[in-house]
Amino acid sequence: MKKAFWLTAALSVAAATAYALHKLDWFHDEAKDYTIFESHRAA
Amino acid sequence: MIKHKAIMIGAGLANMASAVYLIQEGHWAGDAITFYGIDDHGSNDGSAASEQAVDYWNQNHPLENTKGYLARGGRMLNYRTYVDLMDLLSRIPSATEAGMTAAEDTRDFDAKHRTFDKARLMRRGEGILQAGKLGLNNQDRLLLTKLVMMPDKDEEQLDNLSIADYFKDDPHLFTTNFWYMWETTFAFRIQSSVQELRRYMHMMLYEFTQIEHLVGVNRTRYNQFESIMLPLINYLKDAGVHFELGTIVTDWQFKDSQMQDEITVTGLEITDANSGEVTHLPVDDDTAVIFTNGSITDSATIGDYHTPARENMDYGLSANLWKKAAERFYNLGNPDKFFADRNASEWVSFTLTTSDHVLLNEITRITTQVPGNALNSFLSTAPVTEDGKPDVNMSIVVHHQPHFTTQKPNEAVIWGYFLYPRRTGEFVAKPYIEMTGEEMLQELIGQLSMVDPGPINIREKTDAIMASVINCIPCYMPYASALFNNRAKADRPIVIPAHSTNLAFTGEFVEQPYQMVFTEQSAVRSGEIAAYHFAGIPMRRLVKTPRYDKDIPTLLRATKKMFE
Repeated sequence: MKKAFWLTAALSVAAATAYALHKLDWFHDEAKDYTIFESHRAA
Repeated sequence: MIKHKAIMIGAGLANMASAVYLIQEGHWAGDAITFYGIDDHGSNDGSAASEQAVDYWNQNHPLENTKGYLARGGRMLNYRTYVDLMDLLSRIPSATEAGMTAAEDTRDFDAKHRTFDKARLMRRGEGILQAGKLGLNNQDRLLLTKLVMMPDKDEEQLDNLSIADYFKDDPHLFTTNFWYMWETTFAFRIQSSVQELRRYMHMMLYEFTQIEHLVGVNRTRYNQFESIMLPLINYLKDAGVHFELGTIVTDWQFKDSQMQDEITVTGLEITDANSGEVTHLPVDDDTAVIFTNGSITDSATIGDYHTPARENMDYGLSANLWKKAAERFYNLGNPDKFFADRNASEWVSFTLTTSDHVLLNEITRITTQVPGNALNSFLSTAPVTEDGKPDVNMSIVVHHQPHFTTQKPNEAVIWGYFLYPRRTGEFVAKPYIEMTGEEMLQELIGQLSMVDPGPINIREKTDAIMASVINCIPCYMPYASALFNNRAKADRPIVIPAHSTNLAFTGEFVEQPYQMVFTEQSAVRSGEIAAYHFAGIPMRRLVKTPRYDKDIPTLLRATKKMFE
């Protein structure tokens, strides 16, 4: 029972952290910021 | 859209950077590139005053006293974030140090003359303040944190919001040491764009943690022209690049297209700045047009020791050309946002040249630091803002001497500025904009006298200081902070606008990911992007931009700093 509690708690913290980082756009690939110029070139 | 020739409209840092990348990375021949511009320094000027007295902007306001030196502004670098500038400087030889690149020159000087500001803020009756205590309250911290944590994709939520708007329920922020240092280090005004403030908070987050000492500031050996522009000019001329100076591009010819949105330049109208003669320059299919669409020193005027700088109401030259393009195409931004609100953008600066080191030594004594180390700002004790709050009156930069290669050993050059030129002086009862160089010096001595720890007050040396003056040149710059003006993201064109086949925008009035303007960094990067685009170089090869706003140790340090 105790093990399940800590497992759930750890998973919840991990999920909350992942959600927050996603909302903050933490893992944004900056190379994609410049694809707009590549696409204009291709056009 | 790969091209093999380029016309550069504007001969400033951004376009010169573009030319270097076209030659070195695009393997273009230098003689395939031609610059058109009124001068070869743009905002990065610096020379004997006699040389600038005949510049385009001074033709209608000639200097009576052409002695001494003049730099309308000054540049502070930051290696951590100015990565594209340092990459550029590493590609060209220094103009003054044999055997060094311009980057090695700057790093060598800076390593031997590290910045450690000991008198960043000073106030009458208190002397040097403990500026490291930022003075933020919880409301300030909350709003600043929200700004820093806002992801790039949500930046448009800050469209058309000024700093005053964003902090409208938190006027306390504008009475903190944080604000006094931030506004004078970077030249933000409360009317400035909070979108730009957010970018600065991101890119300069590391410096936020040590802002009271400016230890992250790196400086060039000499002034910005001789240490940054001259190496570029020399390199480009050696490579065979053409410079058509004394010219103004005054109009466009664009190709007509079915949907009226294809941006293809087919010709340019060029006016000789001296004779007024107008010529037409055709632009063929193999030519890129790289246009710096604004300059913060356009319409700048100068005075001298006995003459204030007269106000020049001209719209910015390059902005005028931008306006003509923006009137035809809907996706090229809105130049009036930046060039039709002088109340938000104007400054007055001054360059003081003395024949001895009396004033220099007095400032060294009062600020307790050697020349070349600081930006000193003088805080008012009386209310000076429109809503009755104290604020910074003036700021000075005492350069490492010499600041110009031709400067004599006995001479000293000091630069200063007034961020709000319509405010009235504390020691000379007139607005700063109406002051002569002599009156600006009197104002400076007055400010220094109120923070002087003694025992002999600087006022007692006034006669000796005034007698040492070679010149003090006031300079009015109506668009000095224009690049910070309140705006929406769409008010600036992106470097390569949609549907453009041969036109790129560079400099400080363009939209590019993450970059903060009013830096040598963003200007260089815009030129680099334009060069890569027209030379067919993948954008992934652009210099990698550091992200301190996503660096956990920096975020933790910044959080701790907010509570000091």
